[in-house]
Amino acid sequence: MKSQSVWLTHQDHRRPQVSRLPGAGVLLVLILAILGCAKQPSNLVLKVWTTESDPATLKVMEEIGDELVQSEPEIDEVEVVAVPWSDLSVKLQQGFQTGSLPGVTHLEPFFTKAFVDRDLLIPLDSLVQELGPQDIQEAVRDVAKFDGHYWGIPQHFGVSFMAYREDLLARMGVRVPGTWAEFRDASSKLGSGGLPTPVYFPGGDRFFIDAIFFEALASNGGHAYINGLPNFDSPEAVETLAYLKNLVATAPTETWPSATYVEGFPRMVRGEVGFNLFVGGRATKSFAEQWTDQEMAADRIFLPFEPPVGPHGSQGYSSVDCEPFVVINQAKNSGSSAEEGPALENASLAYLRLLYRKDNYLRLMKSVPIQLIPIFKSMAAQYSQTPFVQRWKPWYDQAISMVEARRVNPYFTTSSEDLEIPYLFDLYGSRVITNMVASVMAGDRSAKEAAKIAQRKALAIAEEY
Amino acid sequence: MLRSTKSGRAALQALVLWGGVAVIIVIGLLVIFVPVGCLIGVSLTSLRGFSSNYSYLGLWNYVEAFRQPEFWRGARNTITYAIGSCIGQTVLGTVMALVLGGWQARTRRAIAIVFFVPYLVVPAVIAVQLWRFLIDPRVGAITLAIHRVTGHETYFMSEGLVMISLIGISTWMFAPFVMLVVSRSIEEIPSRRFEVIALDGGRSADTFRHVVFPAIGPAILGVALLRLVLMATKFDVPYLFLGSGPLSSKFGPTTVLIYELAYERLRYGEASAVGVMMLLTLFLVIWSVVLWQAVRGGT
Repeated sequence: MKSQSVWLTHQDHRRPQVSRLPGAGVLLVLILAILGCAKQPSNLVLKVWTTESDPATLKVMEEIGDELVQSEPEIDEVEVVAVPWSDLSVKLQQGFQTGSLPGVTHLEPFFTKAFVDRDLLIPLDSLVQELGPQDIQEAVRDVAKFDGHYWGIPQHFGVSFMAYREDLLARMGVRVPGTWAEFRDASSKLGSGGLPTPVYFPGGDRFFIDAIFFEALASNGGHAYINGLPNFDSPEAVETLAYLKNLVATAPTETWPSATYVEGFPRMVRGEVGFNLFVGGRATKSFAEQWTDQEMAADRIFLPFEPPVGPHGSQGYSSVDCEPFVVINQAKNSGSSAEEGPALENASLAYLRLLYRKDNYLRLMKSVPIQLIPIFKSMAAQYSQTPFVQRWKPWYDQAISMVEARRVNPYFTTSSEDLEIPYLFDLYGSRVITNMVASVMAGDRSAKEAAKIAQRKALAIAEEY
Repeated sequence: MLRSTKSGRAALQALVLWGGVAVIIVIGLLVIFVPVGCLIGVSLTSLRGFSSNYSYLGLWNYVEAFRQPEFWRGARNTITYAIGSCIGQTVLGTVMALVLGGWQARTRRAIAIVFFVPYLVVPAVIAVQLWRFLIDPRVGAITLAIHRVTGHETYFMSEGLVMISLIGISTWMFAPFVMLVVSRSIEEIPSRRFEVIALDGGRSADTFRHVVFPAIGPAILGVALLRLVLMATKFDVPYLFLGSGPLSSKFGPTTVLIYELAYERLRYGEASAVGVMMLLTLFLVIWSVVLWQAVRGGT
């Protein structure tokens, strides 16, 4: 008993000094942390989400943010976040659930109607009027215009290209095809000449499978939707599926489902690919960086060509990349308070005003020339004088001519009017189109059978809206 | 006085004990049953992304899932992937453990750490990227080596080989886990047993059959069951390996289907219904094995 008593006395003597003080410290830190969390930030942090991942573009967008912070004292910070477009809907959804939606974000044009229907955006009519709608390229101006309101403004426009290796074609005596039949012949000739992949189909990402199908369908005179309803089992659509299957059959089909978009560039540079079915303007930058042959300039080797025309079509169509900037309706953002919401929306509009100011905007467009082309007609002359654009002029000229001739369609459509269809987002997510193309390419189904199944599934989705 | 102090202390101990149990039950309820309850609740509704409006649908989402070929395809792929990779990991991990068992304790532990550390520190995204590069049909070291030996090009990402490739990568990634568990159970075998069988003139095969296998059998079964469940719920490796193209649609397991339903189509109700069915299936599998073991008198 005695020893226990001594032990207790000994401990009691020391405990307040060695144990309670850290405990009290931890408690104090916790209280301060809770108070700190409870305290509302006095200034605004504007988040801008962009699908542009190029560091040069992000740098310009951050500099525009810095300029806004300097001119608007109530804005504490502009945080520019690059979100891969394939993750955009997931990130937005998570932001909606956690109350951390951005102020400004890019959207895919075919997502936009779904967002408008859910009241997630605020209209940008006044901003569009300030910028001058008559100065914006008609092909992209209205991609986010619904119910008479502008809900978004395209950041830029970029056109999808089909590209070829000029030297390989010349060496094998193959001409640039203008029709599907010529394309098949050219592809066969390259294949029999020993080229490992005459036609590169980036099938590793469903976005490109869908885009290639819609481009080919439009180039065959087909319509993906009629009166707002799916039209995937039309003769033009069936023909398109068979064409894609035959075109790629000249190459080892084992590789196409895992062939990524970016992998296509080095493979073209290595001389393994004759034609690439889908490249964006950004490809020019990759070709310029990867091409090391000093005797032949890259801009003479890698050239674009217009999409070949199908038997039912009269002209080729490309896809137009024109993701609009939209401003989130902060009333739907549970993370922003009643006072903060309108302030964030105003800050978002102020950011976009600065971004579309001519000097900033041209700087932004020149960060990745050819990929980012100004939507404003009045800036075309100045932009086209950029040395890189001059070097890769055939690409720029093709983009301009396709847009001016209105031979471009937003992704997942065969007409810009299709963007009004409310179920595009759901249809895209369902992979109906991807699976239709893939099942034909893999030989699992005939073109007619696959088209029929896709039509049935797409109709079921449409009926829900 | 002494008795009352003792009974007071006992009461306090009981209070602490049952209080602790109560806290664990409450935490368990909050951490496990509340989320599962929410999942079941959402599965009975039409809830979709970017919207707070929904209606009660009863079991409609479940009926709808059963009608979709994608659901059955996902289930088939899950079974193939989970069983295939579970067998691969268990066999490879056990062989690794048995090989290690022949070494001195210190060397054995050092080698085990060398094998196990990559399992702990290599994230799925890097492992998958590494393997995608190794099996690239044009520049991959493995495909080039096969080409050099056989003269044939091998397409590991072709439809015929992609599932085998996925199972192979998963086996490579997770076999060290099995190795560690089995290795530990080998270490626990008393050395006396080896000595006895050696004195009886037993050969290596006899040692394995009469000493090693009975000792490691329960560990193998336990770890195999754990790996089976973990592989059936695996999302990151199949998703990263198959990409978002047609391979994902055709060979993706149920977890990938749930992801597509929830995050690409924003159909939370349907995604939750598939999730609940997956949960129930795994629950049944685990309890079947547990009951089977109990009936056999095992542990």
